[in-house]
Amino acid sequence: MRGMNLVWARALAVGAAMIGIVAVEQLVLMTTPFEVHTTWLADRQLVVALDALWVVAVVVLMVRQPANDLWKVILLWQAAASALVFWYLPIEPHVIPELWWYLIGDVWAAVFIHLILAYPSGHFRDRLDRGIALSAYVVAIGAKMVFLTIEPTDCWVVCGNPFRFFPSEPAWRVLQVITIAVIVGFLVTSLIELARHWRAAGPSGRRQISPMLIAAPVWAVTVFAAYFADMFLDEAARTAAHSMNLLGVVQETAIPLAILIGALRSTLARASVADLAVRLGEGVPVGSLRPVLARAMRDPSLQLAFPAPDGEGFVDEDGRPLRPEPSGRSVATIRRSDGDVLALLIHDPALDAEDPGLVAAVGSVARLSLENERLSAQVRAQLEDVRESRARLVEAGDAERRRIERDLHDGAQQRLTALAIRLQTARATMPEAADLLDETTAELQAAIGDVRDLARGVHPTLLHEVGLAAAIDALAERATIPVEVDIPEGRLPEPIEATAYFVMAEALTNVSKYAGAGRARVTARVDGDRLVATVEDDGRGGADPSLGSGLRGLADRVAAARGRFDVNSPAGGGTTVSFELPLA
Amino acid sequence: VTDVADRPVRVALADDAVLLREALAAALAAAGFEVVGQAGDGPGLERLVERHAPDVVVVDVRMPPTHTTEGLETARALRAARPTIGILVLSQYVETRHAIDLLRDDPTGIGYLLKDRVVRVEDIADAVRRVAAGGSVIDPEVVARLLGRPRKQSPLDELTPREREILGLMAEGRSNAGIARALVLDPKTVEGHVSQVFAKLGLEPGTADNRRVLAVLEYLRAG
Repeated sequence: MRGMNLVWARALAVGAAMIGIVAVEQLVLMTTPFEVHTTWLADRQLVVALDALWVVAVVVLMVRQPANDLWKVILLWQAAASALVFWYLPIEPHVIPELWWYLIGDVWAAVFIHLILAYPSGHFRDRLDRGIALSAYVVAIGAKMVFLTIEPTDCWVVCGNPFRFFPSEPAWRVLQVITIAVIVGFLVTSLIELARHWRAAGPSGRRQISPMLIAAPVWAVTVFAAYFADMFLDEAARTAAHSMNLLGVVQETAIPLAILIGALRSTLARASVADLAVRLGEGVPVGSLRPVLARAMRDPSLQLAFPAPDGEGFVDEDGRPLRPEPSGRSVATIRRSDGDVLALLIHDPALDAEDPGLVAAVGSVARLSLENERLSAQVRAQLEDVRESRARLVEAGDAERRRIERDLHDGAQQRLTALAIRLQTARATMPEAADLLDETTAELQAAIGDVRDLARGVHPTLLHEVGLAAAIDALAERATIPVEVDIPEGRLPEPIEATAYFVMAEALTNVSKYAGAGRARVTARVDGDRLVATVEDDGRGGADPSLGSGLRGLADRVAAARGRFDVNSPAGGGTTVSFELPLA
Repeated sequence: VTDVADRPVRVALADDAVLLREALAAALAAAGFEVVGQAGDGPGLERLVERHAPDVVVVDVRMPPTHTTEGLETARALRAARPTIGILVLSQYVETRHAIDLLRDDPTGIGYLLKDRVVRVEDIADAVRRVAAGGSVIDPEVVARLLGRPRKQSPLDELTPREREILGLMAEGRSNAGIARALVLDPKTVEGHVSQVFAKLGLEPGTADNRRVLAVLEYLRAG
């Protein structure tokens, strides 16, 4: 509460200072002995209304975003504009207020560039922005100093200018064009920078910047139109330009309105902490806390992170290991009462500037829910570990099968074959043992055939040589019933091919063993990022995955590959084994 | 074993299983072939062919470096460089897919045999001779599997046992004369059976011998 009072006090003090500046300006205008010929500055109602708008904008901004320093720039801008009226002070010799007026005459343009570049935080983002603003100030004042020394005639801009050392109208004209070009260049650059800041900002930052993205160009175009009219147009056109009072109102209200709207748009978040408390009180299902917090913080990019179960690194709410958060994100650490890390809120850094207390407030309101979410995330992470280790076991098993097949191929099969050849060669030299050797050779060939069938069952070489379609085709050739194969040619990741093959092979074995089927059909197709496959038969049905260990094994194998497995086997209606495997 | 020019058929071998390769070389030499050299991988065989220009190469499918289908790729490369060289591919497993792939580009002088056929020297000698003469040789295991494959209704059901036998021998790459010899039949009778089979299966009659193998295999595979 005390913090809040302090915020209000500061905001109101700045508001009072702004009112003070305008009051001094108006006081000068009211008491001046000179004729006031500035059109709208004299329109007191308009001035008061406009100032009120400015004060409201600044107070709202400061209350909603206590860390925002934009008020300093705004104050400077108002001072730069109001200081121009010191020309009307009855100081003798009058050349002193005239010189003052002339020297600071263009500072408002530099302050405007400063304001655009520092919007909305009041601080420059980088050295480029700071450099542009500083250069604008230097040019705005420095150029005026040079102009004073080359003023072509007395009373051209200042009457009784004591610095008019090298009067020259051509030099004046040339320098004037250059100066204007430079200032316009700075202005355009700063508008581009504003657009860049908008692009770089997070969602809540964008909400605050976008009104200014409209207001700043409007202001710049209208103001500079009038400025050029003053400088280059004849008296009639100038009067016409200035008489467009409406344009003047648009121009003068654009900036404070943009600041006010931006402040209102960006800082509704604080009120939502109360809503959040209510929402959490109603209970949020485990696993759906993130969107709720994201809504409360008005940051859809919000990420939650919890300490991993093994204490190494962090996991997200689904238990997946979290990659290092991208640069340019802010991290708020929420701790338990014992000081251990409970969770990290990884959020848009704009939230810190807009409302420094918000993230902490959300964190403490949501602590209990975060605790639930953390437990759930850790369980999921452990589940994920188990799932991964299961997939690794399956892959290791497949690799082992391949190795065994290769050992059989390179070892036993080759040796037995070489042996058989030698027996046959010996037969030519031992006619008396021909029958015995022929019998032995035949036995040996049968053994070679057995080893071949064993090796093929362990791992079909066609699978990694040509692919799933070829391997299943070869399986269908050896089946005991007609098997229709509808699998597109082409390669899939090796573990996917292996899983699909062994599931299909086992399912086909079941068909010929138990289904009493007349025929079967195997299909597979790639649907998006998944392989969708079926093995169906026209047999007696009634297969129950919870009973048969064969089906159970298939389901396990598919689950290890994060797939989905389903058996549809109505009694008397055939059996359809269908499964899906994610390809990535 | 001599070819028409009355000189021994010259053979080069490639297999990374040294024991078996040596045994095979000895068996082929004993059967009257001239074994011009042995290699342990595809590039080695290509060098042998470059140097000795053999009539036939006998190559194992599975060789270093990946131990998958190097033999098939070597066969393809050799055939592209020398259209008249005979190629006999041996494999521990015979797959219909590989057989058809081998024959598809140019079935002249191509053979694909189960490796343990080499046990019976006369079988392998016969295969080498047929390949050297530009014929095709497909392992009976491939053919038996294709013929024995369970299928729904098919024109194959209408073949007589004799016609079925002749279809099998055609699928193995036998010429009409070869079939006549194998079945001890008059070549005219064989011709009659062959056209009968082609008519029943709806295959284009008069397909040249070397194209006939592929047509029959693809028919059986599609069935």
